[in-house]
Amino acid sequence: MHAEARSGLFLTAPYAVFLLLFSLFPIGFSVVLVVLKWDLVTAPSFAGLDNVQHLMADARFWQALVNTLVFLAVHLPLQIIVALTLAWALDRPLLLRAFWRAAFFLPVVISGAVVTILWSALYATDVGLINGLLARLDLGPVPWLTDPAIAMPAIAIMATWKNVGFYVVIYLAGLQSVPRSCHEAIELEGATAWQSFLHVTLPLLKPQTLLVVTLSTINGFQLFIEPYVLTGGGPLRRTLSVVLYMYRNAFSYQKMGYAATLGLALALIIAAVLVVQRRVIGSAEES
Amino acid sequence: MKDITRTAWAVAAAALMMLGCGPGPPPVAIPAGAKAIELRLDHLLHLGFDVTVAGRQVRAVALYAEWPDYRPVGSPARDGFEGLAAVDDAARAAVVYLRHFEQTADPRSKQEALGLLSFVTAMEQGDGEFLNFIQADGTPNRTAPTSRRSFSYWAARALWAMGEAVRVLGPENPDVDDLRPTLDRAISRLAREVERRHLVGGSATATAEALLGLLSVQQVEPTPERADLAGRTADLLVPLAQGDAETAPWGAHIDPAEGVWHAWGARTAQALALAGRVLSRPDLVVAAQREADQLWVRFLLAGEVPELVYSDGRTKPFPQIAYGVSPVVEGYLALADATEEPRYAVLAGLTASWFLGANRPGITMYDTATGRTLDGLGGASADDVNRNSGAESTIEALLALGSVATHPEAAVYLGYRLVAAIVPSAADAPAEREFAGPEEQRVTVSRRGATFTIREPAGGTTIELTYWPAANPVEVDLARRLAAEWNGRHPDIQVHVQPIPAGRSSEEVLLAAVVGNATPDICSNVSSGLLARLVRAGAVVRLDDLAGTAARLGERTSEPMLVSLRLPDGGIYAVPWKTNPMMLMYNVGRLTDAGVTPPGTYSELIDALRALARDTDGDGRLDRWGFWARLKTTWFERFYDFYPLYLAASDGRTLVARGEVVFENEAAVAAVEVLRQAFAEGLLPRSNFEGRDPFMDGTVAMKVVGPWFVKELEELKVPGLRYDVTPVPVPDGDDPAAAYSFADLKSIAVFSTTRHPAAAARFVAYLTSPEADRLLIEEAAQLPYRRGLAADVRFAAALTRWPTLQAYAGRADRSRDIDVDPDIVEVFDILSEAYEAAAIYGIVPPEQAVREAANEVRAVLRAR
Repeated sequence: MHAEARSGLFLTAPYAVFLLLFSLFPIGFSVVLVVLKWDLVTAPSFAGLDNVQHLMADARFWQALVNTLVFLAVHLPLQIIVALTLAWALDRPLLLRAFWRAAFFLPVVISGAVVTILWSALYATDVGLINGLLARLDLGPVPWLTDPAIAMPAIAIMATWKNVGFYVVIYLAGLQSVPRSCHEAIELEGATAWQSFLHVTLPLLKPQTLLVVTLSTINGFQLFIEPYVLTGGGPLRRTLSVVLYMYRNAFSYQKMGYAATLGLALALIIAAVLVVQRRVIGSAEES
Repeated sequence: MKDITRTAWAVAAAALMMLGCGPGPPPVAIPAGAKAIELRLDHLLHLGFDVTVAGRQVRAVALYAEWPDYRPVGSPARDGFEGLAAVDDAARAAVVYLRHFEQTADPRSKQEALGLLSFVTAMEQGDGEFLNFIQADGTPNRTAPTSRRSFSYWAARALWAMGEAVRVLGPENPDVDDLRPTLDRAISRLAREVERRHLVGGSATATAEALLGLLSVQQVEPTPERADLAGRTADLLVPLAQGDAETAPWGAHIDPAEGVWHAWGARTAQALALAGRVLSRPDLVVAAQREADQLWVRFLLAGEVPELVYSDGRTKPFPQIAYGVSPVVEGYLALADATEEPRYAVLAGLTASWFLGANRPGITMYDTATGRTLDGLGGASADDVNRNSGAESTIEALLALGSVATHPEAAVYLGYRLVAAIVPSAADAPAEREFAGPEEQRVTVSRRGATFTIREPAGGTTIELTYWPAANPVEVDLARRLAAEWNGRHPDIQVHVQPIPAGRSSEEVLLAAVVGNATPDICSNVSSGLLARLVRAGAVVRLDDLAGTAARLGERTSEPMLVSLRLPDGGIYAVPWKTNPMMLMYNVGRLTDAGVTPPGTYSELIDALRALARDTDGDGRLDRWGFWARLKTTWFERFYDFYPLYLAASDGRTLVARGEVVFENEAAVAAVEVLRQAFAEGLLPRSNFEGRDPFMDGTVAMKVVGPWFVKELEELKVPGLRYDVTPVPVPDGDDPAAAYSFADLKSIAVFSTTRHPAAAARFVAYLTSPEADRLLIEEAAQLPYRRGLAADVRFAAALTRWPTLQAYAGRADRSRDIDVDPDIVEVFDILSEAYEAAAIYGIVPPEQAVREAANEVRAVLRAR
């Protein structure tokens, strides 16, 4: 073996070991758990396909999946629109631009639990800041987290606030890579700023949009801390996410086999959704 | 497919082995000597018979049973054929059965006791005087000197038994009504004797037994008149003591009739110690200590309790019978209770070892299989054993061993044997004696002047135990104080306190510790929900058959308090430590302003909610409510609304029992329905009140909560908030005072990883001792799960330390916890969602919600 190859192996070994121990082994172990019944403290027993059959008939799982899709339906477009708008604004000459850029990024680096507790104070029906503002406008209080129809969109708004800074950075990078000449060319043709944005900027930002959609989808499917802290999955299970349900099975009910089955199902669903997304956005890009 | 299955299984097994997540630790070996003694009533029952006395069908016990077939027989020719049964034995047998019923709730014991008490009352002659013997046909013997109508020994025992019935069954119990007239007449008759400064029957022992009966009544039905009579009765006994630490007869209370100290029935010290405790008269306790510290300790040092001690210190060692050992054992235990000094309990355990072979011939007097107790030692010669087994021997053994079995510090020394030879005279007793336990543990009793010490040499090895309390500062401080106290007393067993490591919940931390084989020896924050999993994993030690913890369970609880905590094998695997019986706490000012009284029924609750809902700022929206039912569905949220209401309505029926759903009933539907109605009428806030407690700031006027909240409330409440508590409302027509409360228990478990289960059990017994329980109340405002807590004078002062604690204490022994079931969290989650749909959002009728939840829970239970 060449010295160069040996060095390469030596240098990559720590990461390889790390990957093996903390990624590949847990993944393999989770797959094995699908066919087991195990409560953590007693010896596991072979369960065959019981966990899979239970999953197929489990109304809670399907509702959690629908809830997650509802979350994504609100969160994804909102995330893109807000991130793009903010990026566009922050790309302009602006007083204290560095401050604003840092300010919008700040929620990304704050702990999810802290953000959630903060928003629980904002959303509180009786003494919440938002309902306080609404009251000044003579509007009645909104039961943000206790109305079954509103709770999940409310969580989606919160998640958007938390994560948007990250996507703003992606879009900002994209905006800065759009050639100035393209804007000048279309403006010479008499296009308005909006038309310039719609026909030049937006198409050129498709790679960033694909990335934002992909990452937001993955993150969205992993929705956990927000419903866990804010609503516990209610009201009427409307904020029960797949990961929250998986967590309950694993750590409240000690059903490790079924929790692993939920995890595997979630991974497959995310993979399928991403394939579809890539094909749709990719084909749009080609056309 | 088979190959795939095999491969998957093999991979799984390998993976699990890699993680070290196989079955739990192997069962820990429990030394035989650490096991609890079992109290058997078989022989006593064998001696019982039905008979008609004074036209009444009653129960009696035959006086004697002769070896080898132990057929019940009556008084022999030697005693003049007095009869087949006597009040003397029946009364004491009733005490045995009553105490057994107190601990086990065994209906047969209650039935036996009541039958025997019927006999006792039938023998009363209308003026507080009693006959003693009956013939086989029920005819009373009115002529024999040991039976004639009088207020003497047998009357004193009758009074003792009737007093115990009042204490155990409760003064309001209808069964007590039947014997109340007889009891009252007997007490009046005693008062006449005491007025004339006469001892009952001219005897210290009979007077002591009458005093025990009087004090039993006084404990549960205190009156100044009875306290005065008891005090004056005790005052008759105190001057009978003679001698001192160095002068014979060393503090013995000498019976003036005989001029000697007689071991048979020598309950003077026991009665004085109890009187001192019940009447708050330390001088009486000191009087009792005088005999125990100076005379009885000499018995232990000599090696045996003699039959007689003369004024000049000479002793007559034989015959030795249970009737002579039992009073000394119970006397020591009464002193242990009165002084809270465990050393007396140690002496009780060592003295009671006489029943198990710590006697001159090394004979086991008490048969652990039947409860039969041999009639005595040394009738004709020192090695002579009387193998007959009469009622008195059996009764006295059961009284002594029953008491030892409920005192942990005594129970662990039961079965110790004498190391050096017995010294035949108390006067020649050595200054020190060593006793050896079943595992060759050693304990040494030493006399130093008027007092004595107990020493347990560590034998070169100090046992180290790790104890995990809950991580909150109050409990950590409490644990450290108790451990320091224990370590000072037990240099051979040192306990190290370490708060439960940080985690989202102690359940998760403990499960992780089990998986990692890193559990402590002891943990005091085990919930019933977790316990079932720990047992299934073999992670905890069974505690109801270890001497220390079994004794504490017997002393502290009753069978009804334990029934829902037993695992399917009948075992108790954690000592229930503290309880937070939920009650309805209310804001006195708000309720008074609204003109409503604390609600006791569902209708009253709804009416109160209507009256208490207010719009105080005139914006058209309610901003004050009567009650807040939490909106979240996390399983434990139902501890504060549905579950306490359900338990109160269901007469304590829980959710699942023996793997079956038991909540599909009217009580569950009613509990959901009342909250549904309140939500539907807009009487309950639809808010989570994040970050604040709406009761503390006056937003809501009532909440269902346990006593743990009181300390916090006192520190954080708005100025001027006055509060009180009342039982949780029940369906219309039910009695809220008789309803069950939700216990919210936390228990103490010993983990199977311990190398010292017996020592750990002893420490657990200490953590749940009256001394520790009092600290728990005073420092943490939390209640020990203890029988008769509210009426127990030992805790009266502590319970006044915090407002409402006395009322909470009244609910402690009529409470139910969540089921000890491994799937209880999921069961609660399912029920909580059903409750939410039916009560909060009203989209499913309550009956349907309960039915669907029951079906879903059945599926969960089936799948395991």
